[in-house]
Amino acid sequence: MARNKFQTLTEQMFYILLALQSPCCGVDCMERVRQMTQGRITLGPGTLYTLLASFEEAGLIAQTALEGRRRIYAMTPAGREMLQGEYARLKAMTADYAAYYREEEKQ
Amino acid sequence: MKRVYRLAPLRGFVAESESYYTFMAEQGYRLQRTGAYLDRFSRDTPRKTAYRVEIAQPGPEGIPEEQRELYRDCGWQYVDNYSVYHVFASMDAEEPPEIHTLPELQAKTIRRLRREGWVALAGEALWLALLAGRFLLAEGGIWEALVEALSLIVLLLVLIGIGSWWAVVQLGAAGRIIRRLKAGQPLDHGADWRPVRRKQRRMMATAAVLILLCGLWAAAEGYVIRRDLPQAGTEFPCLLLEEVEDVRRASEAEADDFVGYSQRLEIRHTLLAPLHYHTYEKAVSNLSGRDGDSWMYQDYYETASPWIAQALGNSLADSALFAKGRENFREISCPGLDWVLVSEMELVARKGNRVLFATYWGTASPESLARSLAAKWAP
Repeated sequence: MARNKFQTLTEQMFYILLALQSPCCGVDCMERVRQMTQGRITLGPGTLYTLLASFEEAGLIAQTALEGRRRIYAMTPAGREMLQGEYARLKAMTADYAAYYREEEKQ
Repeated sequence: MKRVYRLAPLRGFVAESESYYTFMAEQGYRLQRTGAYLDRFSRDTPRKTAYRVEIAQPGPEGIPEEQRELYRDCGWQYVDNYSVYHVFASMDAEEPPEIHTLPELQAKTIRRLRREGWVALAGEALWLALLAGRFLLAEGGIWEALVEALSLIVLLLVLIGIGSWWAVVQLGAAGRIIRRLKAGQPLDHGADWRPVRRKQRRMMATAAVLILLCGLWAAAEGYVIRRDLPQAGTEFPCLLLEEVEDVRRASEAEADDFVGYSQRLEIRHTLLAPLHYHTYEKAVSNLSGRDGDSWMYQDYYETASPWIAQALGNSLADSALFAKGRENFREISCPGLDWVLVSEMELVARKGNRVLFATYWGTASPESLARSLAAKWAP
């Protein structure tokens, strides 16, 4: 089910999963994404809330604790598998890209 | 703290609502409550405030507390909600992060707005069906209702029309937002709200004028003039008991009518029947040895055209209290009248654009009533 809904990840989805490799709340997740991308990717709270709910529903993340009203989330093994799959896909794409231009340079 | 009420923005125009609230804050009006028709502002020092309208489940619980907490941490304070509209504000000097950074994802939340528009439209369709059912399936069909309560029907149709118009405008606006967001374009939070406001004012003015006109029309049609029933021998288009049998009009005591309804004439004027008389007369027999009184109810209409009179005549026969339907009348010919139906106690007659329905209890035959009527209506 998770595979169907998130066949490929958008940039924002990718970084949210990456940020949730260790447990954190929504605001911390936004901050981690901002730091990881040096401010290139900004996550809005509305977007983050919707995506966190979808990821949780798909079993890619799970709530690990509740601090006051803040929920703490962490990636599940299914989420890790999804992220690794996406990473492999992106690597393959960049490899294809590099190979294409190497061929062109040779010719 | 001074409170100010202003017309709530036209629902469906999310970006324009946001920029309108921002403009109001710059003028020193801080949004406190948002409602169906009016928004409440408090007078404050003018300051730059960003507003965002979130579409979620109706009611304060539509945005869960944890979601509000997340928004609050990002600088967005919850203001109020009306139905599916939830308003957030940020007074931070530094621009807070946008609530939605993936337009395609926000499009999903706006779908609820479109759903709300469809629900409103379905509600109006239901009202229309109920109205149509009430009049079309009513005993006697629609003509009696049209002649006697056209203004009321039009008023209800106008109200349904206005509701549908509002829903269609909301649907159109929601559709445009969804298309824009799906194309990856975020909402323009600084959109010019003035054209929408002008459109809203025009819509409200049109609606107010229509409702006022229909209301006045309904009041005029519903106005009833009450008079004493004219004496026999005077020029009057309804039958009078003294003219059809050997009786005298009952006195107040004989009429035994504590509500003062008998021997009275009610006059109404409507668009399809510019003249409508409703009478109730009671009489006492002059013949010795005859028990009981005579009485007669009548509805006399002068309609706008002969075909309306004919349709109304059929409708009156269908809804006759005693005959219980057109099929229980028999048609008779009577010189001087275009069309006559009689039953044991009821009579429907038409001549040109005039139609009369009488319910009678007495000794005269329905045929003789028709003849008396023909004599009265003779030019």
